[in-house]
Amino acid sequence: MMGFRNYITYQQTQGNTGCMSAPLFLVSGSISARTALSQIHGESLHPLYKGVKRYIEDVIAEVGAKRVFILFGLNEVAVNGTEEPIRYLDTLIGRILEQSPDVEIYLVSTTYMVQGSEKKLLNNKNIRILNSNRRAYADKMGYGYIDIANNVCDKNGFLPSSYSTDQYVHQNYISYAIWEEVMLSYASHLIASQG
Amino acid sequence: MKKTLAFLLAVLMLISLAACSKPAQTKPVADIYSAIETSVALPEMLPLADEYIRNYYGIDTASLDEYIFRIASDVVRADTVILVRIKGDKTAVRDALELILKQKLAEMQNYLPDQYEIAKKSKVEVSGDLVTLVISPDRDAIYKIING
Repeated sequence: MMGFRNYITYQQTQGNTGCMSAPLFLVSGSISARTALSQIHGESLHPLYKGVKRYIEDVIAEVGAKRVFILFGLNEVAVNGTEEPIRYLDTLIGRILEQSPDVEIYLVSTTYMVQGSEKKLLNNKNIRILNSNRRAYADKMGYGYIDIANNVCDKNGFLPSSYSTDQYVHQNYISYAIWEEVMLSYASHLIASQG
Repeated sequence: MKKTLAFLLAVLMLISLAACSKPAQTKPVADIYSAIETSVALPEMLPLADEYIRNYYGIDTASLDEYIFRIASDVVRADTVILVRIKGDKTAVRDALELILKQKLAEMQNYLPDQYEIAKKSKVEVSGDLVTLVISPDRDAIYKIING
């Protein structure tokens, strides 16, 4: 998500706002739902907001956000495999809704890895299981689900190397332009379905 | 002859004294950054907008005299160049930059060890009106340019 934040920031500096007028990215490197729930301290990975490390749910309430797009996954799977992430996500969403009961929640799929870069826990098989679990969870809870992963993968289900900056999981602006298109398309369908 | 020589020396001394008393020229931070870009092979750097600087770093750019905020576009690079000129109290800006560095270290420590090592060698510098944070494998070369 940090890469997507940089892409959107770049677009804004170029005067291109696209579908993202003024998004607030509550992100930091290596953050996961599990670490977002942990206690804030000097070395914790909680995102900076106005120069202070903050809990995500507090900032969402403070700014009065109407829609929250959540993308955690890679750092969860790398440490916990596929089952635990949904539990952490559910707890985090619970905290968000406790303070902001009217907020709309959208889960975003975790994108795949470049061929040859997979590891013991962090691999495309586990990412697929995670995404499937997350989609089922979103359906059950009435949250939105945005499938970006299957729009930035090749026919064998890998992240194309031409979309990656490190031939691993991190992506370039070509890939993030597709993310933006997918989100815009999702929003268009949502608006159309709401009449 | 001796009198002429003494007179010329006196004139030269006066010229030297006049040059010394002239106030030092302040180089705009944009020019400093241009010189860095020319001399050092930085990765692709992303300029940060005022809103970004305010939202995430808590710095109101209206309170700064001059500023350059650049981070690496690629999130697997820690490279950061922040040059701020502020005539008033520098405490808040210095503290904000300290926090940016601390956050970068936390993010990189167990994730990108090579970038963590680069970030670990950095610190916030205050020199005159200039408050700077440079995270780069070429930090020393960049500071040579900053310090003129």
